[in-house]
Amino acid sequence: MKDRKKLLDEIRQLEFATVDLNLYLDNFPDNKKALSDYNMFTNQLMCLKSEYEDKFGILTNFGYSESQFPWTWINEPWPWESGE
Amino acid sequence: MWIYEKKLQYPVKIKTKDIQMAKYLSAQYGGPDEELSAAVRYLNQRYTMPSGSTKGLLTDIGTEELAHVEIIATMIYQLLKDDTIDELKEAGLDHWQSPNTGANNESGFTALPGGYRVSNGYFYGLGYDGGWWSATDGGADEAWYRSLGESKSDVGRFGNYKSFGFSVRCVRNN
Repeated sequence: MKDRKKLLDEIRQLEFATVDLNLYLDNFPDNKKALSDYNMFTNQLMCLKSEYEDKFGILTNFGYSESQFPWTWINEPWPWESGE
Repeated sequence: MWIYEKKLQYPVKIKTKDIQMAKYLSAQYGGPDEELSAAVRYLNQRYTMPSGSTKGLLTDIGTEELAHVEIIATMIYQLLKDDTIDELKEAGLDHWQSPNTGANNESGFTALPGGYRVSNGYFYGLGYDGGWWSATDGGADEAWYRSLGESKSDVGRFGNYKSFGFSVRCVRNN
């Protein structure tokens, strides 16, 4: 089982890639290679986030993720405390 | 609509407290070129952009800037969280006004800027200037004093009229 920090590091790496590709695609929306990379990384990211949220609580609220019982959104530590 | 994701965009692991570093970083948190105003500038400029691509780009960059605000805020939080109330007060404006240049109290003198009194009875310089009479006479009407200022790191030596008021500190050689 992957630990929390390792999972978050992998999520962060994929998010860096998707943010950069997102900004690139804003300017070059018909670049097929960039779009295919964006979709591939997004797919991997969604899998990793879902794995993380099952183990450690939801990363997003307001209807973007389903929580286990009891409500996991308020689990501590918060990001500024853990530094993660 | 914006969504918060409960993680930092980049991890922050600060092990030691450092008030001075937190003060430097505060310019990036609340100064003229801080991350939050950058975010708001991007998000404000998007309304009048001419194309879908530029509206999208500014929306996305502005949104990402908010993640940078959180990184800076986390750095400041971690640098300050183990400080005592007294340490924070001393680093702030309670005694010396900003910039309090070169202040580290390595001499142990713990000078406070009590200001000074002039001949007509008015007081000036509270929070900005500290002056201490020396034991050295400068003639019938004058004497020497030492001074510290909020924007100077060196100790000044000046003469002034004895009708002026400066602080007095008793010191001895060890």
